[in-house]
Amino acid sequence: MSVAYAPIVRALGSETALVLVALAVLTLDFIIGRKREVAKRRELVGAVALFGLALSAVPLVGQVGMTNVLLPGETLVVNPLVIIFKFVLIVLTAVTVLISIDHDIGTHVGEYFAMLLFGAIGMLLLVGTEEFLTIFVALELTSISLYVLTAFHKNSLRSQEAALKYFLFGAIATAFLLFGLSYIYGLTGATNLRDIGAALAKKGTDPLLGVGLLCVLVGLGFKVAMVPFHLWAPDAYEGAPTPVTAFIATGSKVASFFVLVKVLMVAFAGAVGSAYWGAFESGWAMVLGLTATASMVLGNCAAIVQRNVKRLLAYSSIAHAGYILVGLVAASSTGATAVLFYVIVYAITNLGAFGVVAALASRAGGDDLEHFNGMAKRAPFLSLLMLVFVLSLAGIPPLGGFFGKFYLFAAAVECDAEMFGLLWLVALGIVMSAVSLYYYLVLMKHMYVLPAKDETRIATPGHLKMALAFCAAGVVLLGVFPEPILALLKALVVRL
Amino acid sequence: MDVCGVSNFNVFPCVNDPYLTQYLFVAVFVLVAVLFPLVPLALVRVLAPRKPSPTKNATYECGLVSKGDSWIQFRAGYYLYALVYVIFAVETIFLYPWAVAFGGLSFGAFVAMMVFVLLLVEGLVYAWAKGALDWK
Amino acid sequence: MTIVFLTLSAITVLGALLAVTLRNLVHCLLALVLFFMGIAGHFFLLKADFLGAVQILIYIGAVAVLILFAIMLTRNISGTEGGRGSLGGAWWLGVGIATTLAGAMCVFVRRSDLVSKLPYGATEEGVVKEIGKLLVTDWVVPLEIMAVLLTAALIGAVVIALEEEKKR
Repeated sequence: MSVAYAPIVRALGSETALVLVALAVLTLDFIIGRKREVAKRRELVGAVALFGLALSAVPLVGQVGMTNVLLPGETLVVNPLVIIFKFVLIVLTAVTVLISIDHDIGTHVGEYFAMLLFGAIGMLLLVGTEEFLTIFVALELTSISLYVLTAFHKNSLRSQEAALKYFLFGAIATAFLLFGLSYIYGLTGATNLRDIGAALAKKGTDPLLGVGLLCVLVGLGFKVAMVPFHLWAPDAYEGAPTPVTAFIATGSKVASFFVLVKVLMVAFAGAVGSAYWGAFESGWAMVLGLTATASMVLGNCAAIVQRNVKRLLAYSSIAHAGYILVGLVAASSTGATAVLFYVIVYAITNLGAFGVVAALASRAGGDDLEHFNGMAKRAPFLSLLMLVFVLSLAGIPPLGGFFGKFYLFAAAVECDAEMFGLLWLVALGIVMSAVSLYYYLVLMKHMYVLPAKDETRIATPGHLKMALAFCAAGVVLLGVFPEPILALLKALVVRL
Repeated sequence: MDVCGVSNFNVFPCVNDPYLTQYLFVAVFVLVAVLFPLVPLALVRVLAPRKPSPTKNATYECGLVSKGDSWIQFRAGYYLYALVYVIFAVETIFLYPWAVAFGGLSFGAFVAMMVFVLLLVEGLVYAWAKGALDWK
Repeated sequence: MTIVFLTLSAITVLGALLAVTLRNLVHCLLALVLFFMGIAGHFFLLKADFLGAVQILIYIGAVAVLILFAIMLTRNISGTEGGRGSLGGAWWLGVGIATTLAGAMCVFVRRSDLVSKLPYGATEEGVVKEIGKLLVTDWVVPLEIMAVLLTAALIGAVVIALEEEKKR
């Protein structure tokens, strides 16, 4: 049996580059570590990591010509959609690195950036596969890196507690995922998403398929933090070092949602069911319809009472998982397009928001709402950026968040043109968006209206401002000119 | 496959399968291993006279009175050793089938496994350099 | 076969139950080892010798030791501190959920045609050789990801377990 390894090496160009950079970063920090200050090390090592990320984007350019190549063992996929998402993930990681350089992450600097890169590798692989075994290992690589990163504030009890909770919930979710996969493999004899789809189309429904599908939904539902698998999110988001929170809330969500879309649309296209009002049919659309409802209601209502900004954003991200699920429930290519578009917008927005929190909280003495009082005077530029991010999260036009949400809801309405069966879900989503406006405005009130105790200006380094301004520009651009990327995604999703 | 003529050994009615017959020996070993300590313990309980006293019930420690609790807390250093061990035990299970199939594999397959091993060696070098293996 | 299966299952379930109900953590670990052994036995019974051996090597050989060391790092090993049993007050809830799920699974498995469809993968050359070949050919990508994963786990574990370097 001979296998051509050359295409595998070519398809794994970015990942290989990142592994090498991660190891280089470790070694570099080990060599220079004893001589320099921590801040200096962060700058140096962070710069190398950034350079490596830029380098890892190069092989993607070379892959543009390759379309839908299924490589030996059918473990890897290269197509334009995958390349776009790999690129997005690399950019998200780069911004996370930029935020981290400025943040106190303890003395294990090299390890921090190496783990960040390992996590990114896992996400890239997660996006670049259509095979369950690879999905599983890549998901584990991502998760383990994130568990470790969450525990990086070694002197903070909250960070340790967060990591433990995240790890325990994650381990159980993984067990569910694997258990479900074993049944799906047993029923279909395949681990490749397309083969599973074909096998399931041939055979009728089987009760164990339901069990397997449900377990897979539990496992992936944990990663995207949808209710009722969200319990880890607020604690992990609050306790983790803020750049890590940003990474968990954006990179891992983008990758997980991408996988969720692929798994459901390709492998389980035959088990959709329906969440149409009055015409419920068992299947993943129904399950996701219910979890979307729960996520939107619980996320938004719980966010109202939060006093901590990171916790508030955590509940807001649970709510956003709910909105995104609405697009999935539509179970159409329009829905999938909307989901992918919104995930990108959401990731850029949230990365920016957590970036601002990371930059300001360490200098303002904490990340409670009170610490952000009068921020508009103390750090006008970052406050302005925060305003953009928060308004985008709330869904105010003409920002990216508005159009993203609009397409999600439009897809849900469109998918049943006669009866508008998903109108109930859309209506709920709109009502809940209005609720969300309240707590976003509370945050803005603290930043723009309430007076600060200490009016000193907060100075932030230029690279941080630039990274966050880049995010804000992305949010505005995706809002003003959503058409090109939307059309591109749509054309690619149809071919999925 | 007739293993020492026990394939007709009919204690477990369905074990005519040569595959399972091999493991019959293991089963017998396990049974003996369990009975071996249990039988004397049971015999002692039945036969020996019992007149307990505080001195007799005390833990025997070379004739000295024992001090403190026997459940002591270990140093975290031990934990790191066990952890490194787990990682390399997992590596073994990948290496073993590869070694069995080695004869029929291409050069690319060899390189693939070397990459696997090198990555893990790098982890070991890291742990070593970081002093995780130092006995402090 | 049925007798063997039932005996192994009894051992497995007993081990699992003891592992969550015993008070002394070291005893719990020993019960867990019993459970692992039961699972390994099931693998052998299913003619998956390699998996059975892996189960013994990894779980009983390595993971159990790791758990033992982890237990030795904690206080209150003998379970004498604290009032309630290890299951807490809501044990009946857990038992209820477990029984319901197990019952539902029994019904599902019986109604499914899963069992008749499962292929048995052993060839003339033996399972291990087949696994070895597949690992470096069809499944080479997951294999390399495993390597990165194990490296990341090792580095992560060392970072978490090592004491913080002195601040400079």
